[in-house]
Amino acid sequence: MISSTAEAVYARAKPRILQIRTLLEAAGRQSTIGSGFVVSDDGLAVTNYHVVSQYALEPKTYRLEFAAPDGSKGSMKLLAIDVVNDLAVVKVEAVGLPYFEFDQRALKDQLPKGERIYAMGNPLDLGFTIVEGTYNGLVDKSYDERIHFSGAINPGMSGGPVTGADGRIVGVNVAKRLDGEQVGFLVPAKFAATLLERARKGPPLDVAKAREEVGRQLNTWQAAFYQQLADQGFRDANYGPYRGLESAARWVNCWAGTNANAVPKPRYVVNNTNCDSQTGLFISNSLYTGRVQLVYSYYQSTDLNAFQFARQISTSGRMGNFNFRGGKRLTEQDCHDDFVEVKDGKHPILRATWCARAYREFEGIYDVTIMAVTQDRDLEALTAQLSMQGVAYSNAVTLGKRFLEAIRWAK
Amino acid sequence: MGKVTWIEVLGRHGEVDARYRFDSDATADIRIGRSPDNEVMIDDPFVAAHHVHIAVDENGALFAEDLGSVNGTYLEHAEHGAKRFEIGGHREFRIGRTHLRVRDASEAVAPERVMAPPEPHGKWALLLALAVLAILLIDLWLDLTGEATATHFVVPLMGIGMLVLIWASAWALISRIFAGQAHYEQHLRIALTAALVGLVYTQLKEYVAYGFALPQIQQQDVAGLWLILGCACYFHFSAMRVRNMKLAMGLIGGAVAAIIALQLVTLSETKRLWGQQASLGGLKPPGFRIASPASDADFFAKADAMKDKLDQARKKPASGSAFSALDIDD
Repeated sequence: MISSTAEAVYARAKPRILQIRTLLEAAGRQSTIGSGFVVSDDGLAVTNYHVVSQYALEPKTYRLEFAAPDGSKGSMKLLAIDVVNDLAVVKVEAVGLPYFEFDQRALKDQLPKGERIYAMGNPLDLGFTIVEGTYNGLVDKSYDERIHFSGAINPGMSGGPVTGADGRIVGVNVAKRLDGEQVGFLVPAKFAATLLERARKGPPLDVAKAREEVGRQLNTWQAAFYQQLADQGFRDANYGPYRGLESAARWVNCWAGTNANAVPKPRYVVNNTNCDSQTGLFISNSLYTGRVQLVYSYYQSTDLNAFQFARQISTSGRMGNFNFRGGKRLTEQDCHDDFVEVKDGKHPILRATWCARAYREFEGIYDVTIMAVTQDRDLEALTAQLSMQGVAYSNAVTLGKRFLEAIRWAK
Repeated sequence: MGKVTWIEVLGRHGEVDARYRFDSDATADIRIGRSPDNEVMIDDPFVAAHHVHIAVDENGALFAEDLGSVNGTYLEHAEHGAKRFEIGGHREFRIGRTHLRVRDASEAVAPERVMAPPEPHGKWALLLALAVLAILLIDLWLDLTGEATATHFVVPLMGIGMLVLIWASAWALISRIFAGQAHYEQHLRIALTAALVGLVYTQLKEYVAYGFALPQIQQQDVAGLWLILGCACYFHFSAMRVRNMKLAMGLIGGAVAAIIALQLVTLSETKRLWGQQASLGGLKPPGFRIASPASDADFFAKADAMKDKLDQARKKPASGSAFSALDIDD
């Protein structure tokens, strides 16, 4: 029974799905591959932004090509991108094509959990494939809306369509978790429908200026994200005799850890709390940004003297840059160090450092890390780190102030 | 008693290789050359069989006269040969590759040097070794945040101990070869003093870097230890009683400057690659804070001011080399 449905879905989808290749202009060979699907009779097709990002950012080095299941090939144009939802609209030179329609229930988020859905694409360049899986609603605790698809999504399927049994679009293949089994993610169909509308009505993307468009979208995204973070509010979190900041947003996930049960018995006790927005924007193969992380560690000496304790905090407090992939796409990191005191009797003296880097390719976007450690006791301390990737400077300063001022005595 | 004249044949470093005494009556004619019938015989292939002779003129003054050699006779450091010259003002002259010096009985000699009692370099070295050991042990102990293992203590102690011994021995060997005496204990004392100063300097730097919240001092100082090493070299040279101390100092200064320059280039290229590291630096107990804390407003004003600097930096193309920074109009 099941197989016959998949058979029917694939038979119907076959003339509508595409493999999208990014070719190295100089060599004329494929550099990366992905999938896509036709959504209008005049040849508009949807895929992932990350499938076409090389072409979008370096249009002189790369070009786009499609390959259909019937063996036909041809060039294609890039019309619109949505970096935040990892989508792009491309155009195939053809008319009167069969095309996919969107599932109206999916556009209204009314799909029932457990419904059978079918992901299609060309995984690992092995040939067009259909994968049967389960719709599991939107991912919990996620800032970005993503459908949790229980089924195998593999590289090369990115940008491929996911439909219900009736062959209507529910979502777009985008990612999978590497640390789980059959945990895939889809971009909800509504974002694809919105981008398609924009591509139809608006002027086509000027590929020579795509980088500026990426920068604009990054800026808009971070403005909305930090607004959301502020709107969701913050609450105090206690760490021993100190207090720190905790986001009330449900999509900021916190995990705790301790060394208390280490063997042999450690000479100090540390309790870590690591809160992470788990957001991430793919910009290019070497640039992934948009994450916020808040880490607190409360240290207490059991057997260390004041010097050894200070030494211990310095060595374990070296968390540093986490955007190591950025490399020279960002400027050198610059830091300002100082002792800081909010003078109202509620705050301990802090030793703090503010480190920032600018994105060379995108104006007004920075990576900022703030680290602080309490300096009021010899054998007890709270270290705190706030890391913001892909943030406007003013947003970083605002959140940074809030973060630093939140470190105070609990009583 | 007649007048006494000495003729000295000098070695490469100005030391006296051979010395001939002539009493006044014999001074009438002293011939110098390669031939065995000379009064002073020299085994230098660039010297003529009968090269030069020294005699007294009608006024009683000593003079030297070339006997027609091919290579000539040269006064002290003169470029051109001289046929005949008075010895009076020029006591040193060269024939072939051999330097000669004439001295007479009337020459004043330096007063007898008082022999200083031997300095207790050995005792000092022992004291210094104990001080270095104590500082190292304390430092290692204060750095110990995990289990106390033998390697944590033994490896650095052995390392520094070996280094000091090898260093001092090398200097003693150089001393023995070039100055005749090893002065081992004195070189050991100098090496240990340098080790002690280096250790104290390193510790002090950590505390100052922490106290003023300037981790850059810690990360970017490359000169300090090399200067200390340079000073040590100076003392090693003077322990060797090197005659040309200015040359020695020039050599040390040049070497130290070259190493520091090289380190600065490496540091700047590393910084270009990685930027400044986000870290709280080396923390010390809060009691060692020297700078008074800034207000949060001040701190964020400085953080804010960094934006312009970053915006300037992003306009320049990314580069990994200090050399590319030299292109001003890029």
